[in-house]
Amino acid sequence: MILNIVLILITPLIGLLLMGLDRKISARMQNRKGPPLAQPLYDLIKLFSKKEAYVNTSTIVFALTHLMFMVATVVLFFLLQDLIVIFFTLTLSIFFLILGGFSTRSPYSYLGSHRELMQLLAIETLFLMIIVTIGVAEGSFSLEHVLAERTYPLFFTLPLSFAALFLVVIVKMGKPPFDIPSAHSEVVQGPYTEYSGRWYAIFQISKMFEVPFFLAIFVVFFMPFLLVGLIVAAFVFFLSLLVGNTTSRTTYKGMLKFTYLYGIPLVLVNLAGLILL
Amino acid sequence: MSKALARSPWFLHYDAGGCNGCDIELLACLTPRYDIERFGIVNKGNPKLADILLVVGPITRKSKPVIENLYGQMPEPKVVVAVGSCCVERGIFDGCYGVDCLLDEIIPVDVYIPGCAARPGTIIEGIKKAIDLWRTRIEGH
Ligand code: SF4
Repeated sequence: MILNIVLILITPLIGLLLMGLDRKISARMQNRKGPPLAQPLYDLIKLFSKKEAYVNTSTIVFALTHLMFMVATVVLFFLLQDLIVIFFTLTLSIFFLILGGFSTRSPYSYLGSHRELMQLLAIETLFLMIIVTIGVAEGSFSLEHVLAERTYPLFFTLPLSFAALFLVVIVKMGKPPFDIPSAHSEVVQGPYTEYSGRWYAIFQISKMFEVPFFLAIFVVFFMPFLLVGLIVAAFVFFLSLLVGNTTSRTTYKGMLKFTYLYGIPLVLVNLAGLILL
Repeated sequence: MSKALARSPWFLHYDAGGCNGCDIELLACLTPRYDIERFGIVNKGNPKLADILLVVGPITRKSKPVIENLYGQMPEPKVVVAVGSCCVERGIFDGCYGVDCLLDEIIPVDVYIPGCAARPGTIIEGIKKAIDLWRTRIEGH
């Protein structure tokens, strides 16, 4: 129990470190020196020292609710609760982010929210199906039950689901080729366009919870061997940066094709294998 | 704490009507050779998140209301930098029919970067001056 609480508390710190590594490694890949590792922290301090300004109160309410559900997702995850509930809080969190974008009348924010909705459509289906395969393989959706007394990693029974989860995370990282909702040169900052100062920082903070959460799911797949899981998670993170720095943006159709054409068959084959064997 | 304060300047770059020469030099500062991101400087392209407004070119009749709008949308504390001779004192565009006024006649300008085109080294020095000014403004805020 104490371990779970410690994990919850260090998650944002790990998130901050990952964001710093993200910028540093990306810079090195582009043959630049890059900002210091603590740059995301400096960004946060700067954002909080700016004068407060917002468009209307509902955007702020939605932003705060977004953060609240993101934190709830991480808390439920590390308290080893039901995977379906975790999935729902995660979706709700993105949903409030979209509502926040829609609640201003800025065209960029509007377009960005539409694209975010498309991204939700592209990955949430796949993510839910992955969770269903875990449920079918283990006979329960409770993470506590899944992780109790494991002798072999989940990866052995769900290799294709694991591959599909990789697709989900590649899209979810918000990097090229799937940086569609917040495409800098097309829709400015997408759904975040109308936020400034500390209200923009809210989204940075929610990213600090989101990125470690998605990487932690990879660890679950290797669970009795924690070290292997952590190495795989680090590798996935690095690979997402590599993909991000070597590709260019697709359209939302490309994103839908990517997850639906490759992801869903992978999961279905895995599911069929589980049921038949 | 005060060391960590002004280490994340995000800038907004607006071309008010120059020849694009300074734009190219400005963006060259972001490339691997000069890499101003090592100081945490990022081109955000969004006035609501920007701390430094970099204006290039003379203020034409069409761009005057845009500049006022962008400046108004940037939350305090903020600094304005005029990049290139034609932004500082009209330069080669002096007397052109479309040129309306100088930048400092419509918004307060803090740093002037000369040169036609301003060289990346000069631009980085100017941005550094702007950051120092910005730091004192954050502390006073
Ligand atoms: S200062 Fe010279 S190079 Fe720069 S935008 Fe003006 S005319 Fe072009």
